[in-house]
Amino acid sequence: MKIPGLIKSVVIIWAAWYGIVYLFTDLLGAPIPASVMKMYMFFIIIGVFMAFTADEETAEEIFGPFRRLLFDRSHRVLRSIVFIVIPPLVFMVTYEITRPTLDAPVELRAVHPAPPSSFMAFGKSFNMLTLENPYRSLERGKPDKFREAVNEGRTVYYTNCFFCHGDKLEGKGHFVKGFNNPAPANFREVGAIGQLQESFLFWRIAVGGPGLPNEGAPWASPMPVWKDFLTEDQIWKVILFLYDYTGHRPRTFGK
Amino acid sequence: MIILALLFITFGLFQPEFSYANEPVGKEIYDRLCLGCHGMTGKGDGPAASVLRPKPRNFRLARYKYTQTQYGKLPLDSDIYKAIAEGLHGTAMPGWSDTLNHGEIESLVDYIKSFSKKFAKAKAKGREPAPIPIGTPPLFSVKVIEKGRKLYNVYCKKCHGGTGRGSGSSAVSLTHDLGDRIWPRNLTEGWLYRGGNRSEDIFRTVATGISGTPMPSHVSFNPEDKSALTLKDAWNVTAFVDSIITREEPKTSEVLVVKFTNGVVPKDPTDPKWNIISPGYFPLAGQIIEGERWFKTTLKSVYARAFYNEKRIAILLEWDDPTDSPLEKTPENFPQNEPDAIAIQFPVKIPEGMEKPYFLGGSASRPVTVWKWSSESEAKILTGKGILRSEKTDGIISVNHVYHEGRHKALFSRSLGGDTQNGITFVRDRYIPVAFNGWDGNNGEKNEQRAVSVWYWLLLEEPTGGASVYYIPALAGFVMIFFELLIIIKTRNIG
Repeated sequence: MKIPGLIKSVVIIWAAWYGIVYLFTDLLGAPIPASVMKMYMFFIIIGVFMAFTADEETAEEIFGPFRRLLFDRSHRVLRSIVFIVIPPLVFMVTYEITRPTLDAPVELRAVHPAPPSSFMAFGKSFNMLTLENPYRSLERGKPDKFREAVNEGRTVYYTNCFFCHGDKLEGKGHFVKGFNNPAPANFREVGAIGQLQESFLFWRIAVGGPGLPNEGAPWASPMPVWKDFLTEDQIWKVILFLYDYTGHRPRTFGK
Repeated sequence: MIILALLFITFGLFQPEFSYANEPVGKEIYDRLCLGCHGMTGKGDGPAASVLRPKPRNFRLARYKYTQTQYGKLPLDSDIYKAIAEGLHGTAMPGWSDTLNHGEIESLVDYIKSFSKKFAKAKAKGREPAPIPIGTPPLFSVKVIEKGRKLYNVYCKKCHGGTGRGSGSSAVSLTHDLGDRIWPRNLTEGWLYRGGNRSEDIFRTVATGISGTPMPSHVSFNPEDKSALTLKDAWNVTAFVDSIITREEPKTSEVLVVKFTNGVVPKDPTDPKWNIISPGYFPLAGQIIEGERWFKTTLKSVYARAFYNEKRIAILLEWDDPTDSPLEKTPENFPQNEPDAIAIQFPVKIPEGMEKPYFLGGSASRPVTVWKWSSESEAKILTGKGILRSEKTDGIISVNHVYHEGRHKALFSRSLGGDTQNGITFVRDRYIPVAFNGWDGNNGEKNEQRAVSVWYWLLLEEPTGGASVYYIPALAGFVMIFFELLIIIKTRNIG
């Protein structure tokens, strides 16, 4: 049996749409942005239209049903139904598109704002350019001592950080529902701590939310000022733990 | 061929085939992922234990809360597996199925069981744990739910309360077997059911109870015992719980829209007029940021609705709390008896740019206005220059409060215009930062020890927004009708 061209083209367009959604959400694991989807579908519809209107016979298969519906007297009942249904439908769709939404205003916030060249904490000044994790050298020199420091860092993490940053360090701790704007950092994410120097983490942890420059929205961040609660030593050790657990390496500048 | 053979050999060498179901693999995973809470030796004494409630499980006792076995009996492997894979909702225990594969979780189950000798002993004696029968689940019809309600009132109400919010008369003094305080579950908030909220999970908990807690097994597996429920009864109770549960946590509202009303704003928190607005949902978290940090908060969220007219604004806050503190008589084991309280926080002035006051109580340079209701003193307006530095003003805020069966309702109302005492002036169609704080007095919360929220938005809706939004859609509809008429006229002519 021959499938009518109109149905065929609709099926092809639907299958293409479904296939793209499946490819992105299920196979690639990331939903496709609406604008990209619109672009894809635009070209698919144009392509199908061109393919089916290439010769008169197939073009008739596409346009014929519409013409008969609109102008053929034998379809009067069906036409009346369609004509009654369409204007309210147009009204509803237009309303959905144009209705005012009361969404929150967009706020831009730098997640990793530029640190100052030096900052004060623990009664002294730290120079960001030369600041290094004093425990990092143990990794090669004294692996046992290094492990010990990592474990102490774990203790710091599980008594201070995991409420928000989570048991899996993925930024989904049990307080995250309440403290989710801005969302806690996901340490496992590629491009988070692997792109940062340990000195940056030290500064970020020590001064906390209120110590951020204005582009980091210091008024919004629930990150405590950790220099009030932790020692310098504890901050360095928890940084070791973050890198050790996630397998990321701190960014260094070649010497 | 040779290459293939070599490949096989190398793979054989570097990836020795091991059965996952063994302890060494489990131990390796445990030492990497679990000991932060459950501790080196499985005693539930990891570093996080001191700042968690509920406390992490002590595996040495081999007592598990959510089991398909009878109260106090050893769990099935699948019970431990489920807790690891799915996590325990509303606690610090996440689900690990996104991190560990099936075999890894199985080996972890084996390792966790090895912390207690009870499992090996039971096996040696041939007394391995057996699941309870589950009978036949009925259809949850109105009749079945009604039967369940009657049973609920007899067996469950004393702790879980008349509305299921955990406000029963016995709720204030409960402890589990290790002495820590415990609250009956708020049955309306299904997303916080530790052991899952599917009907079979609810049935399991009704039937087997929760080992080590005051939640007993309600089904007797001894046919002589006539006082307990039958399996069928337990399903009826499940049907009733199913009728009052909300399974999905509401979506966090980013904007609290204040609805315009031509008439008066409601003065009563129970005024039916409130029902025309659906409440905004604002999650809270423990104040773990400044001063005496507070890790064990009981308040999880607050619901808010608001009206305004030409003169006044009225904001209704609702939140669940099993007790209306301070209590007239406190239980001996938990003498803390602070007042319950709730607060709404705004900037003193609507910020012109992006910059807001610090969300946690403001700062000296950018203070906040706080409206605070407390069960013991009169409602007041404070100016906050930091969570530890807030001062009462002479401003007046009127609050009507009611408490009923586990739910507080506090209705704040004030004139739209503010001054130096009252703080913020509300302006229509402007996004105004708003935050919420709550104290559960019976949980010993006071001062900075409280539940807090981040900044959200408050928006006084444009009252005239009404008709104009329909112009463009109506025009589109009429254009369509016009074309239809053209076609009809054209076909007439042909005919």
